[in-house]
Amino acid sequence: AREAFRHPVRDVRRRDWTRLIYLTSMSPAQILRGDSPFTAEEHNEIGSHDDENFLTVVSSAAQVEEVLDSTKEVVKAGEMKVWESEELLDSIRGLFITDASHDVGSSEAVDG
Amino acid sequence: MTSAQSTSLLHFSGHQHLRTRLVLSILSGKAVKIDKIRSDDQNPGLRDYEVSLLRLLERVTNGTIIEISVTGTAVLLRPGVIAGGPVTHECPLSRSVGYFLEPVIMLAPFSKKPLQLTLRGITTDDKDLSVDLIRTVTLPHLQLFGISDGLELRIKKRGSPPLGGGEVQFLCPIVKQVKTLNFVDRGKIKRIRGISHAVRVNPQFSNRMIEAARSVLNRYIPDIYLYSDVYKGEDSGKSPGYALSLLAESTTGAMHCAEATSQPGVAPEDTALLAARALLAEVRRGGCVDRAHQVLVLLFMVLGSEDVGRCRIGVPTERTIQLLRDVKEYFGTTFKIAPADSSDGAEQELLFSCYGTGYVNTNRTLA
Repeated sequence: AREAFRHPVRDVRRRDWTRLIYLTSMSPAQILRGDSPFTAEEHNEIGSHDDENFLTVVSSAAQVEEVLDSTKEVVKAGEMKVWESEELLDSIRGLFITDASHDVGSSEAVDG
Repeated sequence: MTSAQSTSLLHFSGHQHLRTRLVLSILSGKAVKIDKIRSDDQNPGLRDYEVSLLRLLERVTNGTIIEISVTGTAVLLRPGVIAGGPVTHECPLSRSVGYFLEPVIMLAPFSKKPLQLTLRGITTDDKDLSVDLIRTVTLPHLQLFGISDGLELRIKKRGSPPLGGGEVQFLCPIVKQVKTLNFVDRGKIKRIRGISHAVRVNPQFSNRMIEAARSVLNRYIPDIYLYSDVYKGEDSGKSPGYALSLLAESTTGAMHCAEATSQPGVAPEDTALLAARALLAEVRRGGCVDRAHQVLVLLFMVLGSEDVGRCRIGVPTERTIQLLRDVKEYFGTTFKIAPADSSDGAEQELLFSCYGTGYVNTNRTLA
């Protein structure tokens, strides 16, 4: 389950984010997908060349599902299913102050 | 750098990132032209909520000139000064008040007079940050930059989609300059807070959401307080709805938030489980700032005093990446991004640092 939940960007540490953001023409989505700068730029160039010579057919699906300018990241119920795994739930204990003591038994008393 | 600068014109295309580009234009004093707005769409041009946002920005500023092309596919904004003062705005029902509040929050501290903004419309939906998260998470982020006294969001009436009927009042003090941020220690989560609200539905829905959320969160820490907020009568708006907004706060003041809203055919328990799991996912992403507040914090780091600001953040969102590029266009500021150590269960984290522009609120001295 932990593997299944891994972020698409697997090699975040190894990536040169400053260069990817400021020195390439990759779109934010391409950067986050982990595309290589060379492949992405080649793809972008081919795309712009096509636009000059051919009519572009815009799919109706793309028109229906417009990407909204929104701060809130969409939470999909399907993606959150991985959190049913005990292993994944335990994997983040280190991020809470109770990690050292594992003293979570008295939680009932603090309810609102 | 001062708040009213050169008159050069910047040019962008597309409807994406419209809000931040308009905000950056007003803050930098640089005019902006945005074209090709849904020009290939069956319904081209600006949407009603985008036009409404432009009108709102016109109201909170003085001397701003906005020109929209006949087809609505291009807009030109020549910024004036941020005036502040009392402003009332009716938000269209296509977006919640969060869509309108977020850019205003970025501008309001640099007004000539303290802003008293009343917004009417939908207060919680599944597209934008709810007023609960803006009140409990977004506004505390401004305190990191020295903006605190008199900062308040009052939820007077709640309004669920589709008919809304909610009303909020945003009060914001003015500052001369924002502080430099140095926030690199994420700490450990020490408490979880939440607001479970229900309007025009069985009030028990609220309690059912709290119980379900606790079934997931109780295993981690004892300090969990989930507040049930049930509005009745006129204060509950025009449509039924419920939602659970959660926030986790760390020992160093880092906050992560998540929320889930009512959907047709989904039980309150499932809505709450979704919110609780989304919060855990957000905590796991690490950083001192969650995904929803990366843009706000990085923008204020750019506006900070002439010193190096640092912040530990998880993997940037698409909006964040575009903001970094746009900030370079408007202010000439670039960030250094380096990997940060994270060995306690969080995903990969990055250290963002930049040299502040020393932005000064000159509107304030005009008063």
